[in-house]
Amino acid sequence: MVEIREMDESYILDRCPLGAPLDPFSLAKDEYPGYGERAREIRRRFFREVRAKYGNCVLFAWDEGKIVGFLIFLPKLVARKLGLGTSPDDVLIDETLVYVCMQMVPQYRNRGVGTELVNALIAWAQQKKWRRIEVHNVRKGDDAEDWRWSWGLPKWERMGFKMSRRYEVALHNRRIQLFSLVLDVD
Amino acid sequence: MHKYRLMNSDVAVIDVIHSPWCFIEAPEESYKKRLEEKWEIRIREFNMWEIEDDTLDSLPKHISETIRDLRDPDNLGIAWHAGGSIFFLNGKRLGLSPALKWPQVERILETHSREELERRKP
Repeated sequence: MVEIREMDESYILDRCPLGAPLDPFSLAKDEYPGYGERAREIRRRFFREVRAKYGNCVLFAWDEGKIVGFLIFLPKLVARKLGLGTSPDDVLIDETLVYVCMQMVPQYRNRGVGTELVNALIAWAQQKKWRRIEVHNVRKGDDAEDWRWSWGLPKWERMGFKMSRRYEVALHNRRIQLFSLVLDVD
Repeated sequence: MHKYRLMNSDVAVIDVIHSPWCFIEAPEESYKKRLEEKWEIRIREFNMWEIEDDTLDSLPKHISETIRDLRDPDNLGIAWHAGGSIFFLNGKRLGLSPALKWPQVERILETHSREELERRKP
């Protein structure tokens, strides 16, 4: 049975992407020298610092002792510093979280694990007195067309998020439509 | 092997901006050294998490401009591409596919080396 847990010191997220269930205590050796221990140390340092300052920024889905999914979220100020999508509205900038990314190993997709992760994010935000969650770069999609790293618009709307903006960006020489959504959690 | 250099440039420079939440390609030190020696390049890395807005002006112009663009919430197109690492060769951004970018950079350096050799033929 899948269990959602906050990231803790026993394993600070340092790998991406998540192609197969990950046993953080028995990790494979690196094969590509462009993404090895040094890259992972930079990621660990970042996640550790954000967690120390803001409480947390990663939720894990565990099953049988392995990580089968994760969700990354960041305070809006941090997300903006890293150049991630954020709304230009800065009214609640200190009290807003930004959903960043969600990944699931293939055999765990379409089993409700993503819904559990997003519900856990909402509960975490409420518990820690954050007031708003923003989601950006959402494709229109439908349930069958979910993008690899995130959900399409309908799933976010079913979770209570409201569309706040639509925009177009260029991707591989064509224009695609994207959406931003927001959920007030207070 | 002929080394890749730009005209009027002593050593080619590869600059890399990392956004550490994602798949960043920070090379191992030994790999970085090998690349620098093989291609006679210099590799500089910039971690966005460690760069404050008030220090941007002290960075190379193409780095500060890119980071400013990334941090601009009105610049929606660039935010779409905000994961991973962003590479530059002598200040010019390289269009690379999303992952395993160092091998792509090596191919670019190799191509340019050949072209430079051809150019210098009498």
